[in-house]
Amino acid sequence: MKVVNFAHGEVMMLGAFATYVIWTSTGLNPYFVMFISMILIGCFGIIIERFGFRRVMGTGKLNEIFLSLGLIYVIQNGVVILWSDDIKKIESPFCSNTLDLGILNITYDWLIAIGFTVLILICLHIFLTGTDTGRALRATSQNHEAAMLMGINVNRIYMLSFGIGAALAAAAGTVYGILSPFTPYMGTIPGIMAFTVIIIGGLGSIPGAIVGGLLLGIVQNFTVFFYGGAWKEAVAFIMLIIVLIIRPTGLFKGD
Amino acid sequence: MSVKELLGRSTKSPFIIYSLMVLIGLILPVVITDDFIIRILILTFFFIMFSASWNLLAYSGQASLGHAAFLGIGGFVSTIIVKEGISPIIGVFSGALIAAFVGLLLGIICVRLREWFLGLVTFGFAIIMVALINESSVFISAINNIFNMIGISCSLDPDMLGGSFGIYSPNIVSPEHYYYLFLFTMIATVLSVHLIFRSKIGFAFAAIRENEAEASMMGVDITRYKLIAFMISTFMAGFAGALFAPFNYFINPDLFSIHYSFMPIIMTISGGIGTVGGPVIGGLVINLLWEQMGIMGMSISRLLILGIILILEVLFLPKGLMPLIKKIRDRCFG
Repeated sequence: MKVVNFAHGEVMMLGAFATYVIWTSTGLNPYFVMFISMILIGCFGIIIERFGFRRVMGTGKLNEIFLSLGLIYVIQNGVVILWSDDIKKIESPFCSNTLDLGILNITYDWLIAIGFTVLILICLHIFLTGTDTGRALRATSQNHEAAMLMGINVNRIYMLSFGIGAALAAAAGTVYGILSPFTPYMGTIPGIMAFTVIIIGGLGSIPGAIVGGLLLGIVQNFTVFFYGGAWKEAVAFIMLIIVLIIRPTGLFKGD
Repeated sequence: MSVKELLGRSTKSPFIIYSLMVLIGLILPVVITDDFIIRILILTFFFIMFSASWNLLAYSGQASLGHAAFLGIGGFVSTIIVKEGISPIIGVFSGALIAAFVGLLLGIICVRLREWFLGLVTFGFAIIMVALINESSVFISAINNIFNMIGISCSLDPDMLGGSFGIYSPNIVSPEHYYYLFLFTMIATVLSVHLIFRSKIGFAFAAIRENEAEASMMGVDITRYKLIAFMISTFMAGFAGALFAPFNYFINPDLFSIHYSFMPIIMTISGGIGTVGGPVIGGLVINLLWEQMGIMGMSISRLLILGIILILEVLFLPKGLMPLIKKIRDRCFG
C-alpha cells in the first residue's frame, strides 16, 4: 500500500497481549483465542488507519513515519501501564508434546507455527491473486488514482489492508507468545526487522519476503552462534545496507 | 514553495524575540541558584542543539531516525582523547569532526535513499554502533595484533569502550560554567542554522526537499548538497555529544539508544519542523515538560504522554508551535 507503519511490531505485541489476556481470563485454547485476537487487533488496525494514517496521507511520507513513532510510544507504554512489563508466557496445551525425528526433537508448537505460516501465506496469495478484492488491493497499491477511476473504493481498500495486516501481526504475536516468553518491549525490533526483510527480499514481492525472511534468519542465527548475541540486530542492518548498496531493488522484483 | 516565499519569510526575522530570550538566558543563573534546575536547563540547551542538528538534516529532506549514533560517536571519541591527556578543546572538536566524517560515509550510502529507506538505514546504523561499542574489545585487540605484527608496539586496553566509562576532570566544574558553555554553543548552533537556511546552501536544501528532480534540473548538485547537509548536521550532533559527556560525568552505550534518536524528532516537530526557532521552542517545551513529569514520578506514563503529544501534533498541528508563536509576535510587535 506504500504506507509504512513502523509501529507494526507494536501491533504484533498487542496481539500477543490480547491473546494472553483472553487466555488467562477464559482458559480457552490459545490457538482458538488467536482468532479472536486477530479480529480484535484487525479492528484496531482499521481504527489506526481511519483516524491516523488516512489523515496524513498525501502530506508527505515523513508524517507517516512520525505518526508511527508516536504509535510506538503510545502502544508500548500503554501496555506497560495496563499489564506491567513483567515477562509473560502463553502456555499451549501441547507444550509438553514433542515430535521425535531421531536427530532432533520438535515441539508440536513449532510445527503448528510452521503450519500456520504456510497456511497464512497460501491464503494471502490466493486472496491477492484470486479474488476481486485482492486484485483491487493490488491495483490500489500500484496506482492509487487509476484504481479510483476504475471504480474501486480506495478508502475501503486502505482500511481493509490495514486490518488484514494488523490481524496477521496479531497471529504472529500469538505464535511468538506461545513459543517464547515476551514483554511489552518485544515488538519494536521485529517490527522494524520486518521492513528489513521486505527490502532485502524486494518491495512488494511475496516470494521475496519468504526468501528474505529465511535468509535473514539464517544469517542472524549463524552470526549469533559465531560472534555472540550483541550482533543479532546489527547484522540485519548490515545486511540491509549491503543490499541497498549492491541491489537497491532487493533480491526479487515485486510488482 | 517558491524562492520568493522563502525570501519573504527569512527577511522578517524574529530578531526581538530571540534577543529577549538570549538576555533571559544570560540572567537566569543569577536568579536561580538551585543546581538541580540549572542542570535541567543545561540538558534543555543540549537537546536544543541536538534537535537543531536533526532539523538541519530534515530541512534537506533527509529525516534520520538514528541521529543518536553521531551523538554517541562525538561523546566516545572526545572522551577517549581527553582521557589520553589531550586538551578538552581538541577532544571536543575532534569528536565532532569524526562524527562528521562518519556522517559523510553514511551520507554516501543514503544519497539515493528517501524517506523510510533512509530512516531504516539511519536507525540501523545506531543499532550497529551499539553492537560495535559493546563488542569493541574484539576489535581493539585485533588492532593491537595488527600493529604488533607490523612491528609497532601497541597495547590499547581491550575494555576501554566496554560498559560505562568517563569522568575526566575538565577545567570547568561548577554548573554555572557548564550553563554558559552550553548556552553559548546552543546560540552558536541555532545562529549558524539560521545563517545556513538563509544562504545559498539553505535554498539548495529546501529545493532538494521539495522536489529532487526539479532541483537537479535547475542545476543543484543533489549529491553534493545532501552530503553537505549530512556533514554539518552530524558535526553539530557530535559536538553536542562531546559536550554532553563531561557534563554527565560518564557515558555508556545508552547514548546511542532509540530514546536519544527519537527525542529530537519529537522536539523539532513540536516546535516546527524546518524552521530555525522550531527546535528551540520544542526543546524548551518538551524537555521542561519531560523533566517536570520525571520529578512527579511518572517514569512510564511520561513516555505515553510523549507519544500522544507526537500523534496529536502530526494530526492536528503539523507545523508545530512556531506558527502560533508567530501569530502572537505579530500581534504584540505589529
